Amino acid sequence: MTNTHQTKTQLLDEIAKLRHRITELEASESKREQIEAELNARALQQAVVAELGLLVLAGIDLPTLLAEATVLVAGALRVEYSQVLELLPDRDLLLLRAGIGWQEGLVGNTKVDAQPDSQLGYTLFSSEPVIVKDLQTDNRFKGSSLLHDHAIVSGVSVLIDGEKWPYGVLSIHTSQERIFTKEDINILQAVANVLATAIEHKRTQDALREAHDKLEIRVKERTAELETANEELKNFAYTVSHDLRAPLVNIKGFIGELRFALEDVQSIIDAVMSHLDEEQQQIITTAIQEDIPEAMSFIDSSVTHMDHLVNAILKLSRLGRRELEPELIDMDVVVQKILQTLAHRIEQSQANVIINPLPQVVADQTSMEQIIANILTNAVVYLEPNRPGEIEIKGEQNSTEVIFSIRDNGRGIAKEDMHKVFELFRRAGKQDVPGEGMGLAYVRTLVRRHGGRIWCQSGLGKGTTFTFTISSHLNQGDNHV
Amino acid sequence: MSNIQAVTILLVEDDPGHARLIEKNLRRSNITNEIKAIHDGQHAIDYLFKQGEYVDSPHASPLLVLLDLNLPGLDGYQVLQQMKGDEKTKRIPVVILTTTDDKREVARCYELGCNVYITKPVDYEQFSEAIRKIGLFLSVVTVPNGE
Repeated sequence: MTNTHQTKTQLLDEIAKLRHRITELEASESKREQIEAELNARALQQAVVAELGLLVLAGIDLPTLLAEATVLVAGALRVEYSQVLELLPDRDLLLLRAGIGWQEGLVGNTKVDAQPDSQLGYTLFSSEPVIVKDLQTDNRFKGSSLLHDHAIVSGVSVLIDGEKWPYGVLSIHTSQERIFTKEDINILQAVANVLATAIEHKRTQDALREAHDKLEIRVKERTAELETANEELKNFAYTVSHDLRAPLVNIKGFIGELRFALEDVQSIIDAVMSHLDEEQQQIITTAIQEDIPEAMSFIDSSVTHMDHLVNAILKLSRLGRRELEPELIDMDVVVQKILQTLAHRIEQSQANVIINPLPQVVADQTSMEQIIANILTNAVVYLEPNRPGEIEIKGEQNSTEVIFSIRDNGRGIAKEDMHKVFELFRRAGKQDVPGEGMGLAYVRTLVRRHGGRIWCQSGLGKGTTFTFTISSHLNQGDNHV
Repeated sequence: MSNIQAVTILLVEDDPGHARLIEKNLRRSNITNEIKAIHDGQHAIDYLFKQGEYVDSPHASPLLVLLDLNLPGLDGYQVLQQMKGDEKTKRIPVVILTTTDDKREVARCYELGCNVYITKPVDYEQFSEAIRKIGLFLSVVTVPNGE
C-alpha cells in the first residue's frame, strides 16, 4: 500500500514535472515563432527598403519611384489599396500622386482635403503613424470621400516628411477589417522615410541644376556682351584712326599750299621792299621770315606727330583684328633670329646673353617674333653702360601654359613708373632712347590674344624681368580672329 | 582711240579740302582735262547713269573716275560695284584714291573691279607725288569711248 501510495505520488510528481516541461516547451515554441515572425517581418522590411533604395540609386524619376513604392508596400503588406499623396503648394489639398487599387482615372487627378478632419489630412498633423481599425467608427475624423467611395474599413497612414513642410502622406487600406501589426507599421514608416529622403535629394538636385543652368546662361550672356563690346572697341579704334587721317591730309596739304604761296609772295615782296619805310620793312620781314614760317612749322610738326599717333592706334587695332595662325614654333629658333638682328647692339654694349633651353609652343609665328623682339630690344637698349650687361632668357611648360621670362641687369624701372609700362604712348625713365611708347602695348595685346598674361618685376638700377605666358590650349591650324 | 584732251575726270570726293588739293596737284602736273567734282556717291551714280539731276545734261565722254571710299550715303564700294556691274559703265577706268590702306579693303576694291588703288599719304610731299603720278598715268592712259 505504502509502496503503491509512494508510486502514485511519484507518478503525480512526474506528471506535474512533465506538464511543467510541456508548458515550458510550449512557451519557448511560441516565443520561437514570435521571434521567427519578427525576423521575417524585419527581413521583409529590409527587402522592401533595399529594393526602393536600389531604385533611388538607379536615379529613376520621382513619379516612377512613387508608383513603385506603392506597389511594393501593397505587395509586402498584402493590402488592396496603397497611395502616396502630395501636399500641394498652398497646403490645403493633397493630390493622389501614385497608388494601386483605386478606381481608374483617380491617380494623378484626385485631390483630398488636407484638413485634420479626414484620416489623410489628420496624418499631416500627427507625428505618429495613424492606425484605423474601422473608419466608420473612428471618432478622430470623418474620413474623406476617396476612402468612403472605396468602402475602406482599416488602414494605416504615415507622414512623408520634408525639409520645410511635409511632402505628403503614404497610406495603405483594406476593405476588410484588419489589425495591423507593429511590423506592418514599421515597414510603412520605413518606406515613407526612404521616399522623404529621395524626394528631398531630388529637390536639392533640381535646385542645383536650375542654379547651374541659370549660371550657364548668365555666363553665356556676359561672354556675348563682352565679345560685342570688344568688337565695337576694335571697330572704333579702326574707324577713328581712319577718319582722323582725312583732316590730317588737309592740314598737311594746305600748309604745303601756304608754303608755296609764301614763296610766291616772298619773291614779289623782295622786289617792292625798297618802296617801304623801315618800320614796314621790319614788320614784313618778321612776319614772312619768322612768324609765319614758325607757325607753319609748329602746325606741320604737330600734324606729323598726330599722324604718328593715329598710325600707332591703327597698327594696334589691326593687331587686334589680324587672324592668328597658330603653329608649332621652336622658340630657340625665334630667339636666335631676333638676337641676330640685335647682334650689333649687343656687341656694342658687350652684353652676355644666356639662353636656357626653351620649350616649343603652339602660337602665331609673327606674334612670337614681335613679342620677343620688343622685350629683347628693350633689354638691350636700356642696359647700364657702366657695367657688363647680362640678359637671360628662360622658358618652362606647365599643364596649362608656357611661361617665358627675359631678365636683364639694365637701368630698371622706378616703382612709380611701373603702371605706365604697358600703357599706350607712355614712356618711363630717362628719355634718351627714341621710341613711340608703343612696343609693350603691342606686346600685351599679342600676349592676351594668345590667352596669356604679361607682367614685369623691376628694381631701379638693378634690372628688369619681363614674364609672359602663352596658353597651351591653342591648336595648330585653328584660326583665331 | 580717243584723244586724251577729251577725257573728263570725274572726281568723287566728299572732303572739299581733299578735292581742292587733288585738283591743284593735277593742274601742277599739267593735266588740263576738265575735272568734274562730285561730293557723294549718289550724285556720282546719277552723273554716270545720266539720271536724277543729270538726266538732261549729256556729260563729256570718255570718262575716268577718281573715287574716294568713305563717302556719305552710297559709299565708294557701292559706286564701284554699280559701275562695274553695269554694261554701260563697266569699261570706265576707276582709280580709288582714299586714306584707307587696309589690305583687305585694297583687295576688296580690286575684286570689285577697280583699275588702280592709291592711298592718300598724310605727308604732303608724298601726296603731291602720288597725284602727280596719277597725272602722269592720265597722260598716257587710253580710255574707251563712253558711247
